[in-house]
Amino acid sequence: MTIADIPATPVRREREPTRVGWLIRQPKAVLSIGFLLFLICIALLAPLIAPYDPTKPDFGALLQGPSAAHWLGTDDLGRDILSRLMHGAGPSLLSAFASVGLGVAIGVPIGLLAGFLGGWTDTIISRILDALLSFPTILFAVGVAGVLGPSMLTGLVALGVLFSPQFARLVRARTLVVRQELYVDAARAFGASTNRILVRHVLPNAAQSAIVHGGLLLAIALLAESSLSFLGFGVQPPWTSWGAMLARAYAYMEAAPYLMFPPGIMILLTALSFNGLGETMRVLLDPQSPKA
Amino acid sequence: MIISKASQRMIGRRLLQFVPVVFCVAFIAFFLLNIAPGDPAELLAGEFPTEERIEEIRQYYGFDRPLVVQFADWFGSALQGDLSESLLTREPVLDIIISRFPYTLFMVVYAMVIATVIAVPLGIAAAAKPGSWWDSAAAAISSFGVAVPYFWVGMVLVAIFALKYPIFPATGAVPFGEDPWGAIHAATLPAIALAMSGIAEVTRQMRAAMIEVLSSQYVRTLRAKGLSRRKVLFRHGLRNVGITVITVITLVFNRKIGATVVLETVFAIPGVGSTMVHAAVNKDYLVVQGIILVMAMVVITVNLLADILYAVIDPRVEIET
Repeated sequence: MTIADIPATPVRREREPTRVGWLIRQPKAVLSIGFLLFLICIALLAPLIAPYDPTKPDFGALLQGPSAAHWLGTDDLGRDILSRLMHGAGPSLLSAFASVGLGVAIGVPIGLLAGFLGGWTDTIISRILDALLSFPTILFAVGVAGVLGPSMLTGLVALGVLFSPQFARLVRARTLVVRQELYVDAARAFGASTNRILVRHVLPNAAQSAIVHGGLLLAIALLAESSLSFLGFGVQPPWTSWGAMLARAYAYMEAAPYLMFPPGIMILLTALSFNGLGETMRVLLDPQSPKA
Repeated sequence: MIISKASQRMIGRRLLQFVPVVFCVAFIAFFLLNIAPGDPAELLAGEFPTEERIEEIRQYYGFDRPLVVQFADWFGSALQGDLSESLLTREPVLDIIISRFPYTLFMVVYAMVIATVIAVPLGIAAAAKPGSWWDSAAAAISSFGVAVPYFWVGMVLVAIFALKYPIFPATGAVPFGEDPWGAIHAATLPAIALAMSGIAEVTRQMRAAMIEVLSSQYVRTLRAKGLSRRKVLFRHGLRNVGITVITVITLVFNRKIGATVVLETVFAIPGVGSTMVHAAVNKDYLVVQGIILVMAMVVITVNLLADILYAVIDPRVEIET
């Protein structure tokens, strides 16, 4: 009897569930991502689909409640709330993504260096990170944005700088682990430079945790940006953001209490979706987390 | 109470780190605010100033010196309790902070009490029966709490409980020392708004900690011994979640200090946050700098106390450095 005669036992392959397959069975993930995509479309198409010019006052229609002409009513200058809501989506989303992106851009390289070089570099960087982590976020951002000149840019730079130590710490911790791995030793033995090891071997490994954390930070960034714009330190006129709309609503709280609901609810839904997205990314990308 | 050798060393190391961190805080705060374009002296001199007036102001505040010298001078005085004076009112910055801080602290503490009172039982109920109706409710409340803009909650509360049904005042604050009940009454709405994210965070952590304890070996042994679920939960489970509670409370405290900026503005509370907004609008950067330094030091101190408390409660704790 030769090997060829042995009947092949059929190998039963369990079909591994694909990531996409898993994803579409998660109602929370689908809803979150769907809502965010919808918002991005609205933000991009706002100039085309908004029923009114968001900056044009209409003194014949001040502080009107919802009506057929103005679905969500008008503000104190007669501007259409629905149009402003659509135009405000862009700056609100952009600030959230940009401040978290900046946090990653600053934090990841710093964390890599601290973790990989160790010694005094690590000690000094760690103390600076400790210092940055102890600034109360919005208090600090208000101060910096106010003194440097309030604008969307200073606001999101201040937030980005404050978010960066979270990424730096995370990446530093991952780097400390990865540094010990055999393959890094092997790369070094083959003569790879520190730069090469960092970029080719350590970074991909550490970046994953940074991305996951970034997803979970988006909602916090959105709320922080809204707070800044609410106080007048974020997005400046003629642009608008949901936080800035809440500031107008606050000024007319007694005369027109309905003004506070559209922007507030949009911030809430967007933050919920960001958290849904972050949670989904965590489950998909982090091999250690249980797929609930 | 015995604190192990390892814990003592850890506490010592933590105390030693305090100094360089405070230095870094001061350094960052100072240089970030001083890279601003424009001469503060010109700003202060008002409209149509003479060249002499600007020069006079520059010399008075020492703006003509190199930045490093200015920093050394400012930080040196700060260590001795002198944070310079407001560019607007010439009031000492430290006095301003000391007179405003009690309002902020009261609001934050009140919010933390609300968060703890609601979230601890909620987290325990959720952990006692994972997957139950309670658990789903706790999860929903957590998701809502972290995502909702707290200052918007504040506005909604004012619209309902101050403007429509005048139960609470819409704005203002009462010093706790003068009239405790009045202070609590006035701070209720802002404290509820401020408690939102705290409720979410404490519920989530409490649930996770309780589930971990309840699924541990010794709890299984106790159950096998015949102890009822309830007894295990209250006698043994709760005792082991102390650490979690401290962690979350310090974390929440740090965030809340920052969040007061917006709520103090919404509720017109004369605390540190609204002072910060006022100073930032007027580019009174000596006040801004002072508030950032003092508040960061408050946060660092709270974290340090929490670390020491950990070490006292649980000798196994090794704090990462």
